[in-house]
Amino acid sequence: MNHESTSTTQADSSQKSRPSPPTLDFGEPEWESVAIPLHGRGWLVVVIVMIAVVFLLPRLWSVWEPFEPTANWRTPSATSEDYWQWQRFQSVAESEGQVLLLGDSVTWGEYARPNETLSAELNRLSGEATFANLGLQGLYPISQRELLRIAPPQGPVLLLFNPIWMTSERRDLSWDEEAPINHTLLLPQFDYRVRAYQPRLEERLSRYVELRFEPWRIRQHWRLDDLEGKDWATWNRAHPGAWPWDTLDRTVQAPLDQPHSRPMVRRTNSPGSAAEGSGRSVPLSTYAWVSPKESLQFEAFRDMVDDLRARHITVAVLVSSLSPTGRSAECLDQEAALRRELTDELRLREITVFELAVDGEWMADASHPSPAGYQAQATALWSDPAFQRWLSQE
Amino acid sequence: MLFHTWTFLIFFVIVWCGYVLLRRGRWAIPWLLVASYLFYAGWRPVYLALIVYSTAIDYIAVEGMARTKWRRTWLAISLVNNLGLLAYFKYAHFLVDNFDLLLGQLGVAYPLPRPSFETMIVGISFYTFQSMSYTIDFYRGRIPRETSPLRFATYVAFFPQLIAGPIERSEALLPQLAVRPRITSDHLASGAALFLTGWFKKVALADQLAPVVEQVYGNPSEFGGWNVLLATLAFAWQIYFDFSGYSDMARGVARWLGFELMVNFRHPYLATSLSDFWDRWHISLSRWFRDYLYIPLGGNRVGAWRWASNIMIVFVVSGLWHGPAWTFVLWGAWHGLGLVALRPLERRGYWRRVPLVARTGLVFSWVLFGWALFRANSLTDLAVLAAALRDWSVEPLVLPLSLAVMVGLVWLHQAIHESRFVGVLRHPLVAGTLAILMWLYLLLMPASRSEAFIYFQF
Repeated sequence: MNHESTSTTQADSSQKSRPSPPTLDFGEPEWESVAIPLHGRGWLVVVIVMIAVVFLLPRLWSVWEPFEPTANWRTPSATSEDYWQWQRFQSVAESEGQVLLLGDSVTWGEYARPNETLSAELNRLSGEATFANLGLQGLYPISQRELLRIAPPQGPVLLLFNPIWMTSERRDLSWDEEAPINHTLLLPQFDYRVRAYQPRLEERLSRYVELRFEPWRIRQHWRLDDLEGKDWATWNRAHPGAWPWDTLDRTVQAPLDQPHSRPMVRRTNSPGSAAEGSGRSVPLSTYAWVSPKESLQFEAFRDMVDDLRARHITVAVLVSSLSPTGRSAECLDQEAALRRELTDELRLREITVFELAVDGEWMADASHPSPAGYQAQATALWSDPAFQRWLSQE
Repeated sequence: MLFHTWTFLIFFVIVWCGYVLLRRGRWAIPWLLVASYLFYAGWRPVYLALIVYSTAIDYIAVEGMARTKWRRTWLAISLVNNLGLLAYFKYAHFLVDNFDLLLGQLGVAYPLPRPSFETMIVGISFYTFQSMSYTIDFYRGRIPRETSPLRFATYVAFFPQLIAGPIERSEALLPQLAVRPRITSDHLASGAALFLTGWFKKVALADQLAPVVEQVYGNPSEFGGWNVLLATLAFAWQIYFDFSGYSDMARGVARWLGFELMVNFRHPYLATSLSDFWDRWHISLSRWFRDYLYIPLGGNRVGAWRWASNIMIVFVVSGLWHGPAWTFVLWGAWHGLGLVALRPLERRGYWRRVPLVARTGLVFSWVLFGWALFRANSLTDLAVLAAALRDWSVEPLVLPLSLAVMVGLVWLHQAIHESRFVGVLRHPLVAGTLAILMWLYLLLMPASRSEAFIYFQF
């Protein structure tokens, strides 16, 4: 503030001699405090280099970090939102001619080791690695559809539909209150009305782009695979001496050889009766089913099947079952009616549908089979001539 | 709507295309005005009422000055209105709290009614000052009356600089709005450079430093001297990157529309005296205070004591401008005190005999201490921070090495920029490499979410 006062002519003078507008001499663009004084041609080179980087980064990363999945590989729980790695796994499975088994944690095997899942049991029965477990924990059908939009499969697909998503409006994501949602990046941002998902426009836009722009899926892969799920800045604060290149270990996280969850306390296996396992009376449960006509998840599932068929992909649908244990007879009847309705609708579209067998003994919780359950379901499915026919078709 | 968001990108693409098509016609200004009001309404539509009201009063005040004899009255109306809005919407809680405290000390237990609103109105300090400069400049006869109310409204609400400056002068922006300069390839190139630089400063530097600062300043009692020092250093750079990043982006956006906004920062941490610092830091605000407060108070054409009191008044008011808190007042007073104390040294030439590096270091240290006053959440926290400086035992440091190196490189870059080796930085290969590295960082390394700009709260 050491500037001297300039002539501050007081107001009245302006009445007499009206000042003329200042001239418009902006001169050369001022480069002061600009770190990158580039002109048009320079920018053109920068843009070309950046396009090359965007194009080459996925290829270079794939070479730098080789991925050779072991038998019965499944996506590790800690990296279930690593969609770039999931896509790599899908490509490897397709290149080996495997049938892709898609779905949520029922496909993934919540209560099973990697070698005890449905795909692993089917592989055991077939005597070779025919099936690949591409299930992801907590994946809604609507999210599965979005995932297949960015990573469309090339080979045959077995899509598992889990009716658990239709057991309430909350699970179906068709109720009006916001709730924590799995795989938010995979939610459709603009083409479905997901009433339980009400982000700001900015979040929708950024998620839409983040999912589709491959370098950002690689960034997510780096975060989940090497940075304990954190962004670089957060991780770096916990490891203040580290440099970014220290984190690149050229290996992909492998799945743990153990179940992700432990089964809950066993209850009675007789459907329609009160639980006994806990030693006290447990009230019979029921579900507030969402009908197939109103279910957002089933609508998305149907659309996903249509998408795949439009791409001439061989598709079959596996409809999983819910545990009958501890449920009212009315609830079981409702489920049976609902399953009929949805399988009929799929069959009307000429989709091959297989219903997975169920028994209360086989279930670890309401919707997830135990390892024994997977074994039984795989055996039943494998012995189904229709399934063999479908396999031979593909 | 932050500049570095997808929403802004879409908004700007639409605005830019529309403006390019309409630039020569009569709809260009209405287009920019609607865009600016939409941009502002993005925060809260109700804010629009205030900016429209403020704009209307100042426009009418100048009309009144031009058409009637009561020029002073109309100026007073404008000033009272603008300062009244600021006082009410920015300082009401502060005034009520302090008045209650004072009454409590005097044994009077009648709490005053608190204002009903809780949040501060985004950008009010910036557009109020910008609008006021128009009425004062017209009163002083420095500028002609703006005949178009739409153009004046666009000047007040021009979206690139509406929320956090630079606080433009009517004599610089209104003529540009009248002429609407042609958009050249140089505008686009330099606009892109400014935007990328600002984006990098914000996302790669300010946002990465913010958690380090918050960690210590959020819980000052848990840290000792080294971490308080590091966090204060981090804050010095955070606030610089954050605010100058915003200014760079604002200038870049304006340049894409063909408009030139003033430089707001010029490597402030290379200042060799405190007055030099204020010629480099938030230049649009310090010039505003110089022209509309310091000089009317008498500037430096008065005796030493009067000059010292003028400086103190200007800096205390400037501190208070930043927010309703005693910590800001202390920060302003600290800088005022520094200027008053250093003045005799500078006048007698002792200061110039001190080596440049030492002068820069001393000024930076003074500024750094000021940032501790500025950043502390309260006077109580300030006391805790001061107590922490008594403990210099070894403890895990909070600042990541890679971040410290990046900040160091920026400092080095700025030093080279002001040296005779500046040509090296201007070489297209160096500039291009820097641009690519910035892009790569922004592509792969940013935090999961970006914070709002610090100066939005002012």
